Amino acid sequence: MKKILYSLLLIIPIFWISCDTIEDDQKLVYPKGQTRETTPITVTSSKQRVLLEDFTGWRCTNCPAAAEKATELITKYGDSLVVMAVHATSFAKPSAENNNVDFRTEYGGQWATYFGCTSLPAGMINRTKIGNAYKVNDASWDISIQNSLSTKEHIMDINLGAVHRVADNMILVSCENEFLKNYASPTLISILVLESGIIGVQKSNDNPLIEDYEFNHVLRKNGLVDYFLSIMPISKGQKINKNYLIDIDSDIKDIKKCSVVVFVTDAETKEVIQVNTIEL
Amino acid sequence: MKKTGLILLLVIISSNAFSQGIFGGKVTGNFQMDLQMSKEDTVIGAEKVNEKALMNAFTNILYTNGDFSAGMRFEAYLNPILGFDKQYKGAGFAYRFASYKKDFLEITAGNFYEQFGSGLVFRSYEERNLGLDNAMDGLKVVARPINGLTIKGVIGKQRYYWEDVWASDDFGLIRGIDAEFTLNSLIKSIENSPLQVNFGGSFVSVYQKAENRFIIDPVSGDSYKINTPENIGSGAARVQMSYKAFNLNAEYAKKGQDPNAVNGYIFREGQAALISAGYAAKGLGINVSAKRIDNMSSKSKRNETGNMLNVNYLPALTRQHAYSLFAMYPYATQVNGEVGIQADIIYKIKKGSMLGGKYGTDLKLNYSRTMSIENESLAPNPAGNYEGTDGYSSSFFKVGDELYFEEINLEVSKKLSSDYKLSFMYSYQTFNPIAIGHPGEEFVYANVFAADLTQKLSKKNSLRYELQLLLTEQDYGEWAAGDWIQGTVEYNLGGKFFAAVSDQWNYGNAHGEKVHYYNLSVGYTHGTSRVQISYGKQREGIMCIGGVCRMVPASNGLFATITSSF
Repeated sequence: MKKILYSLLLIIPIFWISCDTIEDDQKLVYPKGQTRETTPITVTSSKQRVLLEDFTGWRCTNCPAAAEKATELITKYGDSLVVMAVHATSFAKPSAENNNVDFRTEYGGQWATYFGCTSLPAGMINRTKIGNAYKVNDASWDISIQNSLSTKEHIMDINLGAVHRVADNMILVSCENEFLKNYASPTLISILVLESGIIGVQKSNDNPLIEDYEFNHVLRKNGLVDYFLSIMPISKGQKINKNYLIDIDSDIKDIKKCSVVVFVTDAETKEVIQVNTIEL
Repeated sequence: MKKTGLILLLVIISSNAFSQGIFGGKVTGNFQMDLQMSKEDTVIGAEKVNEKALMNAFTNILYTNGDFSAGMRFEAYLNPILGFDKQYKGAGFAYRFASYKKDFLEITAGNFYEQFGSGLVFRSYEERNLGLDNAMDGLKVVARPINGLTIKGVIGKQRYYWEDVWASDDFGLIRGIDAEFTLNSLIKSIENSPLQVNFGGSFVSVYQKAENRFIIDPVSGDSYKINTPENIGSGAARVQMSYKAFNLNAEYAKKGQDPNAVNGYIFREGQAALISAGYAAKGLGINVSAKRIDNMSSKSKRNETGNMLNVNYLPALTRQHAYSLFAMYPYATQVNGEVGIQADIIYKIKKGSMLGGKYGTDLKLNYSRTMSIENESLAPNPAGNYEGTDGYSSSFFKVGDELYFEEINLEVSKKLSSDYKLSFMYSYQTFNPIAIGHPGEEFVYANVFAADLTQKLSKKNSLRYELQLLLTEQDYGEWAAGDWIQGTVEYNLGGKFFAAVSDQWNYGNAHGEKVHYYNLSVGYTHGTSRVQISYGKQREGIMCIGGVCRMVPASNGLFATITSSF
């Protein structure tokens, strides 16, 4: 009898390893955020831009220097450069010391892990793999941006319109994606909100705890990440218009200091094809 | 992988030093190396081999000592011979395990092969000729608590070439359990009954992380996400019965929602049924089988196509041919849906009768037919295809309109005298190229003949003459290149040495060159070692084993095989 009981223990896991069943109305989901509403295009672009993702955190003592570097690069490259500060990893974990301010986002954390940007400060330039790594140290950001601007093929432009709707506290974003060249791989589009001018606590090498540190380009929650822009090859001259509605992150301090960043990536290589930004 | 193998070796060596019992153990093993040198031949389509020489090799080492066993397999593909996936390139320990039996349990850690029932929901196996190896890496527990009851539990991931499957969530985790009991062993009063009954049941679940998969409405540009399930379950129930000369095997399997690359990402649940009944008596054997498969591809990676990472096995109901022209238009299992039947009759005409003659005559008659399943498409998705929908509806007992494969063949074998043995085989095949992924091509109707005569020259020397003929009116290119004839003469010296010469001639090719595929081969066997070398041309084709197929590219050159065991 004991043997049978022991053997039946083998069967117990069956209760945990069952089978998922997706209900009919959940099989094909219309992703949250897509809309047929539009807003006029107000920002157009006709040049290749570069996205610098600055992985940072308030506990990271070397990160203020990296942020300063990013600011210098904005001055140097102007609107050819879009900076996005991604607060991620345990360096960004809130505590009473920083008044429990949490700038982390779910997708920011996933990117840090996926792209290997877990020791901070770290950056990525257009999510381009250099050698075997996506990560670029802040000392190499400038040269990498230069390389990207001089060598990257100008495949498409992103023209944008955005409006903050007070009535429902949503941001309506219209994107006109114009392809200047044939493009065979599937593409993804991400629409994100950044906030600047947030005053908070930051650790630093020079000053153990800066109480009035200004955080800029902070990636906020409720962004729409990796939505499909195209599955089939796209022909030169083709325009794909998309409209999105973003719920405003309740942590946002001042909507007037926010901007929307839209970037398109190659679904296979993950590399950023084009990026643009619009102030709200 | 290499490290693990070395660690295992060290464990065995250290066990040797510390365990007395280890000296009573037994080490066995085998080795095989295939070497190929092929040159470019534009007439037959043989591509240039930059490496000049290609090699597949493996060696198994198995240690057993009472209830303990451990083993490993070292494989080398330097570089893979033609027709094998380039992802095999490399060398290392592809398989290692340790296993022991204690009380009523048998535990295996590491790699293992296993099958539940007829494999409809789970089969982990290796078919080297197809380049197929879906060995599990994990744990297996087999419990036999009482006589007549066996419970198996498995957990692990499947091999995928040389990739570290544990490093990626893309490779699914397989959990499975199977129970089988013999009614006659459990109930004493019917233990010796002529009616023997076995029941069994299995459940398998594959965990794969959900993925972002979208479809796009071409009109509105809206994208829709396919909400892929993460735990794919499948279950099966089976029965085996025998009563005197009769036997009956039946298994029914059902699979939960599993949108994947093979079924076009539809949510329809899968099902499979397999039944076979047989009668075996002296001089007569009859077997009739039927199956229905509906959306039963089960892989441990959602986006995988091809032969790797198959969780289950869907058996073929056609005769497996050894003669090459009979296997030119082979049957490939249609995992997305098929209905098949097969009947085999084996009859021995008695010695001394008019047809049986002095030695008797063996007859084998086989018929098989595979059709599509009846199906009615449901409403498509906004993108105009069926991804993310249930795909179609299908009535279990209705057969579709499309014929995939049909064959009737008869084999007659007769010993003519003490020195001569003759076999004759005829087959009529109807082959639908869609079954091997060539939609829109015409059906091939082929009459195939073979005569095989073995002449005993002396006690140790024999000659074998083989003539095959394939006649078809279809001649439209790649899949139907008209008539073929093949002749082979083979000399055999007491099973130790053989030499053979053969030519396969595509004499009926109206649109291409009438190519001779000649081949010379010699082989020598010494004890358990064997060396075989052949030189000649190999035509491009499809090789299928048990309904699972792979492309065989054309080659022109030398092929050598060395096998050894101890």
